[in-house]
Amino acid sequence: MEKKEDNQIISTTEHLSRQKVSRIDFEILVNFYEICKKKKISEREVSFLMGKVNKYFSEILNPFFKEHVKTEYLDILPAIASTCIRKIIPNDISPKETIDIRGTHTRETDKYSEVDYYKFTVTYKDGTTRNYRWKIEITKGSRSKVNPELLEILKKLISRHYFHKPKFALNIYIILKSRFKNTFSPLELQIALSKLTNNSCDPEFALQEGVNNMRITYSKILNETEKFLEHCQDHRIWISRYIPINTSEGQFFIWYEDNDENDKLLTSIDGKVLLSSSIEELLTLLKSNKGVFKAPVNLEAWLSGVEELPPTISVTYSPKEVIAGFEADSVSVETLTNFVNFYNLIGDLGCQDERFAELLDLREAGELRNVWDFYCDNQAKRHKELSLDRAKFLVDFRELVARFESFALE
Amino acid sequence: MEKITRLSLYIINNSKKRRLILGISAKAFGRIIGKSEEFVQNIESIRRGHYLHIDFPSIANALDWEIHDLLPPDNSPYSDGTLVDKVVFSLKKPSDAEEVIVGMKDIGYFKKEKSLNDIFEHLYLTENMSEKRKVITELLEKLVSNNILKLNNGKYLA
Repeated sequence: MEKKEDNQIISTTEHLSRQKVSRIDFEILVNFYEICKKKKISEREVSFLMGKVNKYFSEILNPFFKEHVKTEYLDILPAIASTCIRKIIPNDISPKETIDIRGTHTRETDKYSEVDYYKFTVTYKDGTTRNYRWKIEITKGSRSKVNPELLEILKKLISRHYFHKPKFALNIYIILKSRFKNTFSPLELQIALSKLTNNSCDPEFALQEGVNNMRITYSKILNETEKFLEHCQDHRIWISRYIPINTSEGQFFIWYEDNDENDKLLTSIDGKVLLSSSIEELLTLLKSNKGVFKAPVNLEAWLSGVEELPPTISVTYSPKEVIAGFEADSVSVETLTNFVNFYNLIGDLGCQDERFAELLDLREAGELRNVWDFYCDNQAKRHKELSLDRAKFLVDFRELVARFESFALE
Repeated sequence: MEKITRLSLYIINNSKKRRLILGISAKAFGRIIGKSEEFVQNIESIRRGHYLHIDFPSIANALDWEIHDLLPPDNSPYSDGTLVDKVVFSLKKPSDAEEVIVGMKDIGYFKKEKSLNDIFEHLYLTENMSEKRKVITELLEKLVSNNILKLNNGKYLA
């Protein structure tokens, strides 16, 4: 009750008119707005999904103001309203057809909200008229509760590098809709994202806002290591480390995607894998290429970025750890992943040069292929039990490692 | 390369294809929609620019279409607004050229015999446009061998 007494409502009304308004501008706005209202998508949510500030769409809706939906944004309206473009763009407008708009705009403001009432009449070129009544309410300073389930999903996306490249709100909304249907509203997404862009957010999941093509974007605040790995991803060149089975000293090499879209290990002209005992040495070797190897197309651009960022390895291959993992009572997911990474590496080397083709036959040896298939099935959510002759697996694996090392290290 | 929204690109390419099928020059098209020839050529090239939606009724009218004919089909996937390369429809590309010739056949252009020069004139392919002329010539040969068009005394007929 006390609130009500304190809450003074201020109301202002203006009589307004506009002449020669583009009819197609107006009809696009009306069609889109009416679909959104039917689907209970608020003006604020539309603004958010357009990548704009909260009041953006409300201001466009003011029929007495000359602002309209820009052509550049027509492209995204179907995704926002889950409809097709033909439901938004009218079909029966004559070239350069205009309308006149006449009516009132009343604004009521109090402590908690701001309400705009638009009562107006549209007069068409043939003299016919149509009346409109719009009420647009903006709630002030309401507290927003974060949907914990959605927040967890976003955190998962962050940890899977989804936000390493800036994303529009609409990108994220379309992804959520495709995976979870209509479980989460645009408003819930906006609230969850503002939690993650807040300064107090755990740096592991902290997002930042940016702008691309006049629309707000969300991206992870990357640390130096992540920036370097992103740089590698952009140029499709990575530094990897191989730990030979009988030593603990790592050997560093380059793994890259070639023009033919195949992943390869960087080798010298005479077919040896280029290995170095440190990242620095490897980089020096790459910079001073004197006809030793055929440089990947992006190498120069990649190397120039390396100067500004601390170089980091993306994957470590350690057959010794794989063997230890398979000798343990139960095989962990990490062991399986390490095995599969190594298995794929062997495949890349075996495919890139006939001199290494023998590795492909060894890779297909009974138990190795069995474990790889098991991993792929599980990745594809076809859960199966791993039935494995471990002793046989370890013999096959050691043989594959020995052959790989004979090619790569000797 | 210039970037553009998927919708704008669709409308540029769709209207350019229709313009070529109907045999309307960029100059005549520009005049009907109240723009210059350069404006149309610019929009229809890889340079920056797109048609504004306030011009959609004029564009549709110039092409003897309804506004909805300019737009992508209802089952088109949603766009998230990511801009795409402005790869424009061109008679230099055999698949694009085929769409135009087949479109010309569909509107009855080949009901009467047409010489190669008639076709070049319809498409405003002047002598210096040798690359496009070559594509059209080879395409016509292909359409004749596929029985889509007939060749009668050096003239094409549907």
